[in-house]
Amino acid sequence: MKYLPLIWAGLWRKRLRTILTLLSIVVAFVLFGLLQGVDAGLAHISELQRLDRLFTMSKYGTALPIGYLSQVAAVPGVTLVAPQIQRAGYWREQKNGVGILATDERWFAAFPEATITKDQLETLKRTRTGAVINIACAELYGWKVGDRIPLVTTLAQKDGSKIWTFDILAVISMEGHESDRFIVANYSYLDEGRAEDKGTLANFVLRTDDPAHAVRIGQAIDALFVSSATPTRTFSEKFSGQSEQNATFNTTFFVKSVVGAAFFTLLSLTATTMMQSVRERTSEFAVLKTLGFSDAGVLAIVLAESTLLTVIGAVLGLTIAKFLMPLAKDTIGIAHIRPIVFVEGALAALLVALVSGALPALRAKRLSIVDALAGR
Amino acid sequence: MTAAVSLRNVVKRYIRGKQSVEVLHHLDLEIPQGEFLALMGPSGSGKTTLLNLIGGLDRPTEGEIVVAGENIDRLSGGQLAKWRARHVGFIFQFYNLMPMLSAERNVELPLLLTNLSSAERKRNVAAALAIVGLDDRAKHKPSELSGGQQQRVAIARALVADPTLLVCDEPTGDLDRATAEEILGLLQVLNREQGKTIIMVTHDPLAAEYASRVLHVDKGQLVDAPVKSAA
Repeated sequence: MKYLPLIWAGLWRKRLRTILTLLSIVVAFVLFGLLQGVDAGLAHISELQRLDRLFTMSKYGTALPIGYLSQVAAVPGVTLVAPQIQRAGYWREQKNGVGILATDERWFAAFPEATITKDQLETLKRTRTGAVINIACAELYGWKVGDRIPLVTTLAQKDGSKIWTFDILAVISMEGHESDRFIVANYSYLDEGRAEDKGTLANFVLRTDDPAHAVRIGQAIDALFVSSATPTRTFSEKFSGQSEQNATFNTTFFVKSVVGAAFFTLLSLTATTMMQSVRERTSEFAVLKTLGFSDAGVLAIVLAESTLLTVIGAVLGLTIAKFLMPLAKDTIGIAHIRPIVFVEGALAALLVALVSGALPALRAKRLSIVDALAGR
Repeated sequence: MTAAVSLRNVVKRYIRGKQSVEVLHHLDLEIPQGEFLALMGPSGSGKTTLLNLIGGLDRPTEGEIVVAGENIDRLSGGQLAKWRARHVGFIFQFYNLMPMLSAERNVELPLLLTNLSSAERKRNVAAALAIVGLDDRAKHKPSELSGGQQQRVAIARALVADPTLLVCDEPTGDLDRATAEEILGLLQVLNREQGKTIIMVTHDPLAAEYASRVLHVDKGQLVDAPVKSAA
C-alpha cells in the first residue's frame, strides 16, 4: 500500500493519454461483459436443458392423435408423458406477444423447474379456464392473480372467435425462462373449445428413467408409429436446444471472435501507452534505482501501473455492462450477466495488464542508471 | 580518522562501439569520514564516473572500492541497490524529483524501502524538510517550487534515510549565484554539524571553496592539488 501514491502518480503523468486509454479499456470490457453475458446465458440455458426430457412430434409437422399418449407411456423407461399444444397469441396489441401452452398437471412433473405449489396445481386442474402465468407476463403486463385476460390467438373456437379468455390462478417462474412471456393452461379447455383438430396435439413431452436410455427410448417410440399415418420423431431437449442454437447462429464463435479482436486492439493500445510512458520516464526510473529501488522493484512498479489501469477500466466496463444488460432483455432474452462473466473479466484484465506491461516493465528493469541519468 | 571511502587501483573502461575507452586509470583515493571533498576537472576527465563508482551506481572494471566498510565492487545488483538505500544520499544537478509527487512524497521515497511505519516516515520527512527550511512547502509539487527550493527538496530526500555519505553531482550547476551559495552553505552545515561525509563534483571554483579538500581529476587520474583547511 505504501507504494500506491508512487504508482498512482506515475499512472497520471500524462492525464489525457491515461484517460483515453482508460476509455478504450472501459469500452472493451463493456463489449466483453455484454457478449460474454449473452454467451454464458445461452450456455446456462443449454445446461438446464435435460437429456432425460424428450419430445415426440410428428415427423411431417402434422398434429398427433391424443391416442398416442397411452402408447408412448407404455414404452419401457418412460416415466411420464404430457400433451402439449403451443399457440402464439397476443394481449390487446400484437406487440404484446404471449405464448399459450395447453397441457395437464403431468407437464409440471416433466418440468420441475417451474415453481408451482400443490394447491396452485389443484386449483388449475379444477378451473377449466384457469391458467398460470410466467413471471415475465406479470412484470411486463401487470397481470395478477384473479385477473381475467382475453388473448387473441390463431386457434379458432367453435363460434369462429379466436379470442380465448383465461383466469389467472398463479404466477410461476422457470429458471432459464425468466424473461419468456407465456402462460400454461388446461389442454381440455383448448381441445374442447376449438373448432377443428379435436383430440390432437402438437407434441408430447416425456421423461425417462435414465438419461443414458434416452436414445433407445426415442427409437422405440418412433418404431411404434413408423408404419402409421402419422409417424413420429423423438429427440431429447438438449439435442434440440443445441441444434437450434447452432442452426441459427454459432454464438460462441461470434462472441470469441469479437471479444478476441477487441482484446487484441486493447492489448496493443495499452502496451503502446505503457511503453511510451516508461520511455518518457526513463530518468525517473533511473532515480528510483539510484535511491535503492531494485530492478525487480522497478519492474513491479510498472506492472502495478498497467494492472491498476486495466483493473479500473475492467471494473468500470463490467459495471456499465451489468446495467446495460437488462435493456437488451427484449432483444436477446437474457437479463443478467452471470457471475462467471465477472470472474472471466477479472482474469482477462489481469492477463491484458501483465502482457501489455511486460515489455515496458522489462525495459525499466534493465535500464542502466548511469546511461539513463546521462540521457543516453 | 577512519576512511569513509577507499579506492585501490581502480580502473574503469567503457565499450563504445568496437572501442574500449579507459576513463579512469589505476586510481587510488582515501576519503576520511566527515570530509567534504570537492572533485574538480574539465568535462570528460572522469570525475562523474568516479562519483558514480563511489556511489555504487557503476562498477569498476578493475580494482577495489570500499565504502562504509563494505567492499561494494563484490556486491550483486540487488545487494548494491540495498546498500545504496542504506548508505548513500544522491543530489543531482537537475534535482531529479518526481514531478507528480509533492515535496513530502519525494522526500519519503527512500524511506519506502525501509520497515518504518507510515507515522515514522512522516516524522522523518518532516524533520528532513525542516533541516532544509522547507517544512511549509511539504504539499507543493516540484513545478510549484523555485530551482533552489527543488534542490533543497532533493537534499532533504538525500538526507532523510540518514546515509553515511552524500554524493553530489554539480548540485549548484543549475542555480544562480545567490541560490547556489545558499545550497552550498546548507551542505557545509550538514558536513560540520551532522558530520556527513560529502563528495561533490563541480566545475565551479567558488563552489569548491566550501569543501574541506579539493581534488582535481584530469584524463582519468587524480592530479595533485593543495589540501585546504576547513573553510
